[in-house]
Amino acid sequence: MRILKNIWAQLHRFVFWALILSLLWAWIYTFVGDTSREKKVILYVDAYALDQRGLGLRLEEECLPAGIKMIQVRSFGYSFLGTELEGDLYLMKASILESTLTDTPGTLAALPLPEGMRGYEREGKCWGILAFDPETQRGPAMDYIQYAPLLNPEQEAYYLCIDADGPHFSGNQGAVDNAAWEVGLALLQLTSDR
Amino acid sequence: MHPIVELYPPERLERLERRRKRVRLLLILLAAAALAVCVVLTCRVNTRNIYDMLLACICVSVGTAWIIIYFGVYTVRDAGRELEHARHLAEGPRESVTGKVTLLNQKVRVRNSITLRKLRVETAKGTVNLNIHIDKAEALRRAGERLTLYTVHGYVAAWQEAEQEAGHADS
Repeated sequence: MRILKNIWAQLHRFVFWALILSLLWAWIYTFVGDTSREKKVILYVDAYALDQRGLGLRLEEECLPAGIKMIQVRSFGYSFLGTELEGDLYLMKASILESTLTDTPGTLAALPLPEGMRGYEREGKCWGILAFDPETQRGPAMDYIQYAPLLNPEQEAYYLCIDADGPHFSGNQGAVDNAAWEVGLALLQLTSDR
Repeated sequence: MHPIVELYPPERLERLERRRKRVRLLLILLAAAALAVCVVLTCRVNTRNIYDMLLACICVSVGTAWIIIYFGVYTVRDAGRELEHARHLAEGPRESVTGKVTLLNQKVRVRNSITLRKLRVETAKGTVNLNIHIDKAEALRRAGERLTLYTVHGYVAAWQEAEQEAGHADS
């Protein structure tokens, strides 16, 4: 009884330190769980729902290029926070791809189109590889990415694009490797387990 | 002649000091051990287990912090305050007052010091208000009504059962 009374008397200290330590560790782990830009590939996905951690881990299992420690998957929601998107790969809708190419030319890199795949072409160059096809309603990694609301099938295609300034595409200036391309191809081949 | 009961005998103060130092050392060792565990957990982080490790670090550090707070407050801090109070009483001029002692239910929590309980002594000359360490009040109550109290600056440092015929007050 006395112990409980003592604990009650110090409750403010217990709560205060629990909060402080939780925040401190969460802050420390933002650094621990991250690595330098050269050692990670960042994929942005503009989808209705996304299992960021699950997709990142799956891609690491499927394809972790040499020199790469981590594949980070982020939602496009990051851009709403005013953060500048510094990704290597973007999985985006055709309309967003179009407006990006029109409004901010030079943001995306021109890609070689792999055999057997369809791409988004403009001015004779391929700017994105078709990922989600609205006709078949199929796309890669459907266990992790929800391309359309459940009751409203998506009518727009999704394309996989590569950033023109990223360090992980050999077509870019100052590139250190071609990891983004390797991860991108692995993503496109990620079939659903369902 | 009844014996004088000292509230803060030197052997008790020594024991208290030793215990305080021992607990403080244990708490420091506990904090160091918890920190070491957290560092080891953090060094074993990979992308698969990062959230488990984060949770483990939070649990270890918060649990340790709670133990340190509990024993730090109720053992180390309180003992330190009692020792300081006892030293203060040992240094001051001692006075005595004899009379009928009534413990009041009034508690006074002195900031950064001990918690006191008020008591009233009815002497032949009048009423005297005094203070006693709250943990010692119960022993004083059991000792009886008529007592000779030895005080320093209004704080009870020792007591003695008073003779029945001694119905006057000294000061």
